[in-house]
Amino acid sequence: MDAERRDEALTASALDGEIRAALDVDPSPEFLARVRTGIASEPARATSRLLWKFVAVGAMAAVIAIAAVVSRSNEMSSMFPADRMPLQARTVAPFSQIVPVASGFSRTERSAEAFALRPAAHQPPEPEILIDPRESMALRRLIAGTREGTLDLSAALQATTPTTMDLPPLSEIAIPVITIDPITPEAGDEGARQ
Amino acid sequence: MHDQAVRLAGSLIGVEPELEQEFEVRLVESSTLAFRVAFSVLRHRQDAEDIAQEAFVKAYRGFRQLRDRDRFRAWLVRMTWRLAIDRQRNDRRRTSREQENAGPPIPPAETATEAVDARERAEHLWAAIDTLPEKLRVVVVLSNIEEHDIGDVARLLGLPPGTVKSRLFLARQRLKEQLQWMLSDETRR
Repeated sequence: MDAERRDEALTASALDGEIRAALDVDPSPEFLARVRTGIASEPARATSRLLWKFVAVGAMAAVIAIAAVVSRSNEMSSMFPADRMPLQARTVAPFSQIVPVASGFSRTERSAEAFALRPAAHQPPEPEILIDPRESMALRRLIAGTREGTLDLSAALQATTPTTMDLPPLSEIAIPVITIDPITPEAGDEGARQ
Repeated sequence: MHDQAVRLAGSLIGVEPELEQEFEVRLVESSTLAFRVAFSVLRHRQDAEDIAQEAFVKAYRGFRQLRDRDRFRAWLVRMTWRLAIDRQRNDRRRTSREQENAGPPIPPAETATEAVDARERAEHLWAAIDTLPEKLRVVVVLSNIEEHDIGDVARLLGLPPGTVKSRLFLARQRLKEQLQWMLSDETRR
C-alpha cells in the first residue's frame, strides 16, 4: 500500500518535473527592451487618443449648436409665415377697435382683455374667417344698438313674413272645350296590306 | 495650439515617476512569468513574447487604476492567459505550423537518441496538456512555473486553495491517463 502510494507520488512528481522542464523557457534577452520600448511609445499614443477625443467632442458640440440654430430658425419661420401676414392685415381689425359683443362669430366672442392676454404671435395657427368689413361693421352696430337701446326693432319683430302670393279667384279661369276630331282613313281597301 | 493641446493631454495622462519606477520593478520581476504563461498556451517563443509584451502594455495603461498593487501578478497572469488563448484561437493554423517546424523546447540531452526521446516525451506531454479543459490547464501550468505552491496559484487565479488543489489533482490524473494511453499506443505500434 505504502509502496503504491510512493509510486503514485513519484509518478506525480515525475510528471511535474516533465512539465517544469517543458516550461523552462526564458524569453530572449531583447524581450525586456522590447517591452520597455512598447511602453515608452504608449503615452504618445494615449496623448493622440485624448486629442482625438477633444476634437470629437468639439465637433459634436458644433454640430449640436448648428442643429439648434437651424431648428430655431425653422420654428420662427413657421410662426410667421410670409403668406399669412397680408391676410391677417386685411381681415382682422386692431383689437382696440373691436367692440366686445356676444356674437355667433368665434372671433368676437372673446373680450378685448382676453385677446390682450394672448399675443397673436403665440396663437396656434387656425383658419381665418373672411367677412366683408362693411358687413361686419353693420352687424356690430346692430348688436351694439340693440343692447344700448338706441335701435327700435319693434317693427322688425312685428313684421310678418308673406307665406304665399295672392292668387286670382278660380272663376275667372276660362278653360276652352276640348274637341277631338275622328281620324279618317286614307283611300284604299280596308284591311289590305300596304 | 497643437503643442498646447499635446502638453495638456500629456499632463493629464502622464504617469508619475514613482509609478514608472514601480512598474519597472514589476516588469522585471514578472516578465518571465508572463512569457511562460503565454508560452504554455502558444508553444512558440516569438508569439509568446508578443503576447507578454501586449499584456505588459495593457498593464501599464491600467496600472494607475490598479488599487491593490500586490495583485499585479495575478492581474498580469490572467490578462496574459486570456490574450494567449485569444491569439491561439485566432491563429491556430500558424501555431500548428510552428509546432511542426520548431517543436516544443527539448530538455538538454547527451546523445542523439536521448534527444529524440526527449522530443517525443515533450510532444506527448504538450498533447496531453492540450486535451485538458482550460481551468485545469491553467492550474497545472501555473503550479509548474516558478515553483508556485497551491496558495500562490490560488492567489494568482483568485480561487480558493481547496479549488486549486482539487483541480490540480484532477489535472494530474487526467494527464497521467493521457500519457499512459499515448505510451501504450506507441508501444503497440
